[in-house]
Amino acid sequence: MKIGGVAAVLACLALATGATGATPKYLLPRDARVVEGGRFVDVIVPQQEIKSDINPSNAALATGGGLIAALIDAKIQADRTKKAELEIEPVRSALAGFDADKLAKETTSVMLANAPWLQVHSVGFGRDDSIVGLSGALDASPAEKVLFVLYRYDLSPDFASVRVSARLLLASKTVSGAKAPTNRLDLKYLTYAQTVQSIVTLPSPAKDSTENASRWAADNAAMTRKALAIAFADMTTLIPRALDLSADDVKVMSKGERKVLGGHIGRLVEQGATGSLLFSDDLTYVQTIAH
Amino acid sequence: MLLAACVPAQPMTASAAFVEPLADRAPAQDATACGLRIVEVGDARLAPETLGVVSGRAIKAPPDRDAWLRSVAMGLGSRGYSVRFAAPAGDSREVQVSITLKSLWVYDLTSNKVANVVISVAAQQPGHPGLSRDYRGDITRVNWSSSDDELQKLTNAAFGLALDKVGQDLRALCPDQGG
Repeated sequence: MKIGGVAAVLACLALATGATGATPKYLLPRDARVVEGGRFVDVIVPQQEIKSDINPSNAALATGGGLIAALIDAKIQADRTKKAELEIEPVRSALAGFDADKLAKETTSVMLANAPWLQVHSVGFGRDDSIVGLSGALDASPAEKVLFVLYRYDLSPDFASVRVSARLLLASKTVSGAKAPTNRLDLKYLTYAQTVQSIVTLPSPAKDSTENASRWAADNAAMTRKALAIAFADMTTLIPRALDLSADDVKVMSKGERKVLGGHIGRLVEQGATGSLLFSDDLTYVQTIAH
Repeated sequence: MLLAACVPAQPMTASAAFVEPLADRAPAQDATACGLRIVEVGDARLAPETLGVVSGRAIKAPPDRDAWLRSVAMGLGSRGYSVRFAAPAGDSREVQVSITLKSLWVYDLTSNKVANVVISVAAQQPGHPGLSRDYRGDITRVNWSSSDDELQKLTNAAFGLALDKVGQDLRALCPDQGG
């Protein structure tokens, strides 16, 4: 019997973590940089419009589980999703014509120019970020080594922030020991896996998400367009920086002051005039959009 | 059972036949015999082969996307129109309509599945200024099992909501409505 939905994802995550020991892969070995034949870079944008997000309900967690608690969670999450999807509608309508795909491709071009050691063979574009989809992309890759750059852009659950993230996966077409083709995307067979994120926050966001959504939608979504441009631009420096991290860098960053910025928890790496960089196994840059 | 759940979900291919789930069907309208001449259906999406990913399961577009979009356009027939596909004609009393799929994405958000569709409609009828606008269909449901049936119905329901709005606006262009 196949289980779909959240239950399946949680079950698989629990098993994966237990089975592999979840060794972080966000340090790229220096000797893995140079590859014969170059790398195929696959830009994946698994969305067509800006996404909404919600805070998950935790009744099941709080009460020790059970069917009733799970059903309560499902109802709460359904209500939150409906509300978020209604609130984001004016933002999406005002963003009509905004080409996030083009921005993702351009961002990747600039990023690759900032990291020439990646030895780009060619660049592709797709939307399927499922494991089967990525496995198919590996099969179709013209190069043995593939860098997947999986972008996501959304509004935070409170609509206070625009967020752009890039999930980076360095994978190989041929993996000895992989029993099934999809196993090539298992963490243990990836050369590298890391996420970088840029969060752009409204100045003095309201407690009311509807009010925040109105601000993002105003003037043909002027602030949202600007925030997305800023956040994607941040990817061009965050990604090479993440790829360059060493064990010593991580040791230093892990000692930083614990902070909560833009709804994200992490160790403060640096604080500049425009924003702050946090480390929590991933790299997140948080800033406030200027008026 | 848990191990079975971790097998990567195989993609589904959406059906090329647009069928409105009964629970979402718009209330029956009085048949006005307003004729729609669909002169063009198109798909403006980049990477159009993927319609979405729900709980790790990809939804693929039907192989014949033209047939699929024509089927969706025929959905206006259950909204009080007589629909046919034909080349543009200058002297037609029918409302001439072009329909383009601008975006469609089906995805999951915690325990829910969401479908958002945007179709662009341009319509003209002699003596009327014409119509050109985008129509949205947005729908959210609890995701029970990411089954073919669930995902197909959700996608169709999103199209249905957009078609409801298209149907309402096209009414003004019908010859018997003063258009």
